[in-house]
Amino acid sequence: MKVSKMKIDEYVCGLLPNEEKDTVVKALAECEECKAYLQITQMSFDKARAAKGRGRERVLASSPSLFDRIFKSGFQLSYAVAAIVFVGVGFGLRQMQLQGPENVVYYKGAESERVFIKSVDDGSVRPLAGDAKVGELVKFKVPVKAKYLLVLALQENGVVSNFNPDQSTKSIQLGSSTMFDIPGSIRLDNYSGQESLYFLYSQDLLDFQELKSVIEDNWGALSAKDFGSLLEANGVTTWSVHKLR
Amino acid sequence: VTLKIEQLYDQYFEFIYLRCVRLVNNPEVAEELCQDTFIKASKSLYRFVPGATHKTWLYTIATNVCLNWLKKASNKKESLMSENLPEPGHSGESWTIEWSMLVEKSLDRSEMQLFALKFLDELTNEEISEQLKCTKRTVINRLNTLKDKVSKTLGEDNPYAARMEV
Repeated sequence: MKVSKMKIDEYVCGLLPNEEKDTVVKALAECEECKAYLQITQMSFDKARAAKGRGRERVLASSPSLFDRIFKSGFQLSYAVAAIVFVGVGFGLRQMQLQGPENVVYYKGAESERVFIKSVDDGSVRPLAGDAKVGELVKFKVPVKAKYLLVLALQENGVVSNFNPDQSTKSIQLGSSTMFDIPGSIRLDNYSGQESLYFLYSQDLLDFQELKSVIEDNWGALSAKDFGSLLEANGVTTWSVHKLR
Repeated sequence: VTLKIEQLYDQYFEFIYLRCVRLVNNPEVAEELCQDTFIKASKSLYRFVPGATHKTWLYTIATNVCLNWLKKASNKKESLMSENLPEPGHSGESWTIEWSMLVEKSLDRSEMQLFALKFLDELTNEEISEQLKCTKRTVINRLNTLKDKVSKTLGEDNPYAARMEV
């Protein structure tokens, strides 16, 4: 009987629950390979104990959670949740999807006053209350809840990008009026899959590269859907643009 | 359960260190990367991860941190088997010439992650699916792709191909 090296690590570190400990003890009695690994791991464990003291100060002096900074805007959770525009195939009544042979975007929802389509033909802008086509431009008008806004796009495969018309990697500074018309637009392309937009309000400037790095570090532990749930649970306005071919 | 970074550090430092040393096989580098893991965790989402244990979550961050380091070292053309990693075998026999060849020559980050879970951690397909939060079927499909890539780099009779048979 053999157990994984990870289990032996957990055993050495005292992290195994009792029911799993018995299994590892049994394996260590029977499996020569496991025994050899245990010996090596115990030596590394001693080094780990020494390293633990050396690293403590550096780790604990590191800056606070990025999410602490996002939520400095301090707006009420209930209000923020109400502001969520949740648009998604299979996730609710309000949907936006490409369907049919012509890849038409179809939208139905109550938040259309905040989302607009700019026609590629004549440049006219209309509320997104009906169909839109691939190639058309989506524009957003958002409520002003804090000093800054950073719009983050996350595809379901983990690709992260930012939406900032100024090509800046920092947050956009919002004005003093109650609604803000985000300059620029997002072109509806042929991407097949889910792409979610997150509207991150903050009182301080946020840096896109820092956020990107947070998501990439967590990728694998968090899926795109987890990340969306996480943000929504913490009051970040989410806009999911789901496109199906 | 919400834990502060100090609590996570106290509880999991050794476990994460062992994870790092198994991947990079150098105690000094592992120490640095282990600290980096906790710094990234402290700046990140540790209070908000839904449905994941802190242990699994830190383990994933540590894996990403180490694989990034390995990939960067490989891109800088620093030999992973030279003086940069002076103690091959320190963390066990898992560090192999094959692993360094794969890191340097053929695998992308997600393939390295899968390879590490399968052959360095020796997890079962079911345990891998829990780690990667995907189905067992997805793990099997990804192992099939990995098998082809590994065989291209190490040859058809490499020691891993048979273990990737499903």
